[in-house]
Amino acid sequence: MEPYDLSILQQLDDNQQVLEILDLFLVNAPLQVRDLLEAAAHKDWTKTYAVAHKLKGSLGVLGAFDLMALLQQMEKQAEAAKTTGVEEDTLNGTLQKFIIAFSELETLLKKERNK
Amino acid sequence: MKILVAEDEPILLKTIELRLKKDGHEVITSVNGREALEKIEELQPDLIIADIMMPFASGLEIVAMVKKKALTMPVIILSAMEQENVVLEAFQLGADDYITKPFSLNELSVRVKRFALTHASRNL
Repeated sequence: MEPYDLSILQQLDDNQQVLEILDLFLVNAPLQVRDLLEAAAHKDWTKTYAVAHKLKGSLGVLGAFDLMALLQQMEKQAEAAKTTGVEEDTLNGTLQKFIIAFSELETLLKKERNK
Repeated sequence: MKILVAEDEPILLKTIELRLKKDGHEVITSVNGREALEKIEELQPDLIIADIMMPFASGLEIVAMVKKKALTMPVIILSAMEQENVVLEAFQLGADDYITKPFSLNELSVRVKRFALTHASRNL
């Protein structure tokens, strides 16, 4: 099963526009992932939460629900890390899983883009 | 209808913009809450669609400003799944509808159409 579902975008009923959105994602999302990694590396949990939340919105449009679930976990862990710090290792583990899954998604979407 | 969409997430903002334009609406976009507040006063849209969590001013602040200034355009709030409490707060402030992300574009169209019909009947 593909880790994405373009049924929301297909409601635009315009292949050119679907490609436009995919291009926008392929340019913007890696920058957001970089921001996420930087925020977590600097233990800036407020920013980690904000970037994860924003990126979740992009992934929703592409129906990447497993990645959204990982980001939702990260949001909760970032909130907890802000107050107790105890979720820090767990958050980094979730982040690693997310990076691997995101990289797979990016590869597949590039293939989809070039079909 | 002239619709202002305030959303800081560029992919979602562009997707909404493309769909609403296809439905025949004029679309004004804002990438943060502060810009949205300025454009609402300046351009007086017929409908506002606003994300809850945005930089500089939230969707809740947009609803509060619209009601405080006694503006009549309806506001649809875009929320994430875990933001039920904030949605309730938005309704208490005077929001007219909400839609939870990720959402079907067809559903968004139908909800907007409902407000477009009210808008058209008000202008008869």
